[in-house]
Amino acid sequence: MSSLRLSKQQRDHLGLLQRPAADVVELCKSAFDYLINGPNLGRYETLAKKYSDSGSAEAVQQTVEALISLLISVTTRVGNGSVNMQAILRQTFPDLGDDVLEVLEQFVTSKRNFVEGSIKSANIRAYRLVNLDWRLEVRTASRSLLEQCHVVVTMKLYLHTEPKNENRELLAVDISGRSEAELKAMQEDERLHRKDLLVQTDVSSLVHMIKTLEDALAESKTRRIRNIVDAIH
Amino acid sequence: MATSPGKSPALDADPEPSGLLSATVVAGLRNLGAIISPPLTKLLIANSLKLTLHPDATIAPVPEIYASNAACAKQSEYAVVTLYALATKHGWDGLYLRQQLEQLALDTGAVDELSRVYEDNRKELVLRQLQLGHGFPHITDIQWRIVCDVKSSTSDCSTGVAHFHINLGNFRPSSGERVTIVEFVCNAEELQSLINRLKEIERHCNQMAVA
Amino acid sequence: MDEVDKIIMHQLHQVDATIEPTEELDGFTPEQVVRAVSGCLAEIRPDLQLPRTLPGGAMAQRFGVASSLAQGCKDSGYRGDIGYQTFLYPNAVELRRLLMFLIEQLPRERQTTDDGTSGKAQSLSHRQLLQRQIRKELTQQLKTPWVPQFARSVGNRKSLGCSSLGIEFRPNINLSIPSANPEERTKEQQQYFDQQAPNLFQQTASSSVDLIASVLHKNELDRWGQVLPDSVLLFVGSEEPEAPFIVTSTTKSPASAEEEVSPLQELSNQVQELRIQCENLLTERKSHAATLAALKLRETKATEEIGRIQPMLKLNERTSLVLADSEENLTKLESLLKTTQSKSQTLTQQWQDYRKPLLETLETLKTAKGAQEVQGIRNSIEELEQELQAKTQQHNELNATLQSASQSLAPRKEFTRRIFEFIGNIRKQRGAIYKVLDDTRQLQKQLNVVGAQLQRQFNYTDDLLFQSAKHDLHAKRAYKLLAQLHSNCSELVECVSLTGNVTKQTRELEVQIDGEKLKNVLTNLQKITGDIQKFEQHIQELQGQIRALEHPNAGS
Repeated sequence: MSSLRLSKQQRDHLGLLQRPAADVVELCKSAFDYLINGPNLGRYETLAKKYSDSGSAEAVQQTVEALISLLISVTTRVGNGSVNMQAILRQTFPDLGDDVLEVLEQFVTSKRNFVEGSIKSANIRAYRLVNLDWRLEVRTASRSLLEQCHVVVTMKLYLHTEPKNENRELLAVDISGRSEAELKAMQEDERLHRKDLLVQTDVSSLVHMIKTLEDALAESKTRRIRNIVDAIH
Repeated sequence: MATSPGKSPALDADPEPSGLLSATVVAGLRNLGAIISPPLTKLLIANSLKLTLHPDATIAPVPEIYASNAACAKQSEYAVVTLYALATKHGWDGLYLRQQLEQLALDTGAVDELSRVYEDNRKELVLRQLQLGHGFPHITDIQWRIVCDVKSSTSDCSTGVAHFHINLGNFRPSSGERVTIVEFVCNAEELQSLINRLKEIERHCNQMAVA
Repeated sequence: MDEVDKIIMHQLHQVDATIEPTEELDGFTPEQVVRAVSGCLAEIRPDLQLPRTLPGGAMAQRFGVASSLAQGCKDSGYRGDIGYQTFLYPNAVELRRLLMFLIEQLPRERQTTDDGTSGKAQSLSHRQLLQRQIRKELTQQLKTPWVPQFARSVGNRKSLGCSSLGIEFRPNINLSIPSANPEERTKEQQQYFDQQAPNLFQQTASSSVDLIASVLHKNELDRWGQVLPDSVLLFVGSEEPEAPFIVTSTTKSPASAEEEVSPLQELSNQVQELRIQCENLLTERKSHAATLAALKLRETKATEEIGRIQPMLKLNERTSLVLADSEENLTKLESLLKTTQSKSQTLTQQWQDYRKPLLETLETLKTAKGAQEVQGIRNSIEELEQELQAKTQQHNELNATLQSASQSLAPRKEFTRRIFEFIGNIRKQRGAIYKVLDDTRQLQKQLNVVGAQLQRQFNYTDDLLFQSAKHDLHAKRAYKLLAQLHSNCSELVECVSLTGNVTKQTRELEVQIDGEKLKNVLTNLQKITGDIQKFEQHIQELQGQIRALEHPNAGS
């Protein structure tokens, strides 16, 4: 099991990890906060004041960002729980104490699921089906045929590129305390990641669609497919 | 008007249904059997109908129609197509069409031929005009594939779950080429909920059909 | 049983009002049977063409009708024994079974929607028709197997639709078709239409436009174009800048589309120039038209002025003529005045003379008319009173019938109660039957046990006696007696079982006899012999006719 390859700059930024375990815990908490709320300069300022001997607010921020980078690279490398996380961390940071390493391991494992979901399906932003509205319609007349009875099922598909459910929850933050610019940015984001589509079909095709999709679902549950998926995993 | 079989509700509103035809159409119809000879009339009607019903098919051209009096032939072609389109639009039956044509004082042979061809092909004409009109993209075909990632640019390991790529589309009527309307990805639970949603529609349709 | 009959009668009456609900099922004539069964079959399967009545005369026709109805019942799924005899020689039991089956099969919808007598000939509203159509369409789509899109135009032809091919309504707005009057066309236009102009189908061959849409659009434009010239011009004008090139190529020189680009460019340049010229000319024409209109306005004003002045001129001329010779003219005018006055006096006198009698007659007529009106009102009051009485009487009658009807309709609850009673009774009987069966089984078991015991006893005794018979003469005799006893006993047992069998047979025969009695064979037999005699008579007649036909041939 080899160590993680970190650049010189990254190692410099992680210099603050040399501090006692309690301070590292504080830094890790800041990194969590960063993940959810973004940078929080005031907090870094107070932290920097605490570590008056070494570093400014800027150094603290760099450390926090380096921690997140560490989190991502560890998650990328370590697929599931079978790999010994502590061994990797120990090889990567041979000069750190056991208590600090334990804190780091905890930090990495606790947020791994969150990061995993994002990065694993982040590369191809395919649309996912979020919701479906439908309506049964009958066309009774048209310009070319005044008397007819054409039954059609109209469906509205709500598609979204946001990869994972847990991250979608983040999108649903309350908009009450946000500035106008922020709201605008969010709307823009919505517009980019969302697509609503109106389609129609006839009942016969609908029945066929249901059958085909059920076939697909049944197929995915067969032993053969499971074996293949397990083998890849 | 009271004696005519009032099939279409539009007839009640329009006191003189032959007024539906423009002067050009009437002139074109009068050419049939008169300026254009009866055998050519037959050929012209058959050809017009074929081209109306199968706009995309390659049908052998009939040059003899335009051999003499091409302008009249072109006018009559337009007239025949328009007559059938209007008759189908207003839901005339064969008898009613004949009555209308007789009011226009056309050649009797042409009237016979026109109403006979109309009666023989009414269903196809209705079907043809039923397709015409605005609609959202119509799904008639569905394709799926099960996908499982092995490795990606952002992760060294597989997610370990199979995903479904669902592709909804139809076929372009003219070329038969497949057109994708929408494509999306979902996992097993999402697919199950989609199936449930669609089944809900089917169930509703069933209820409508039985009630 | 007559409860069932009542239900059957009620249903039959709903199906066919001519069947009176009072009649007994036993007393049904073949005619009534045919009427009832064919009525039910017509309800169940409206597509079937069945005879409604039994023809009176020829046996062969009657036979044909009866067997076709029997076939219809079989086709509807009736399992029981059925044939022409069921209709021609009806029997209450079979008929009851058949009618109950048919009533069971009657469509439910009819029973629920049908409110009494006004069943079939109600006209449906448009909305109901549409709903029915939608329902039909939906069931059809749900039931029919899925057909791939490209096969739909053929596969779904019968169902008239569901082809699901959407063609946008996109007309070619610039169809060029020779107009109605050939006289209006210039020579160049005629030549163009004769030689170069693409036909209708070539003009709509592009995938972006549709033939039917184009044709409908043009027809409507032709019909309303004259009424709304401005809007049409506006429409065409707004369309042009978007695709000027297409317009020129389709309307003016479609043949050049196949040629190279440079002549096309040239031609389009020319067209452009011509268009500019045309616009210039149009503006010129417009200014001319404006001046023309102004001039016309002036002209009308002038004519008006002239009209006003001319009568004044005439008056002036007359007065000047009169003033020329005043004395003479004055006397003339006075005499004229006098004669006119006398004339007017005589005329007023005459007028008075005529007027008086007329006024009098008017007065008398007015009074007469008033009296007549009063009389009329009185008459109408009387009529209305009579009508009211008739209506109240009718109301009473209807009330009475309603009461009787509700009384006759009420017993449904009664029926169910009785059915429950029957079921209870049947249950009780079933219990009794089980009890008897148990007893019988018990008895059988005992019998078997005793029989086996006896057999063993006998074998043992037989052995014992046989052993001793070798030595003892008495024992030998005893052994013989034992053998005799054994054979006699077995004979006896056999006799008993035979007696039992015979009694069972007897009972079965009795039941059969009862059944046959129920079928009143005698009368049916009489009827059948009567029919056979009729047949024979018919045959004889026919033979006689044949002979008569042959005879003259032989004679000649």
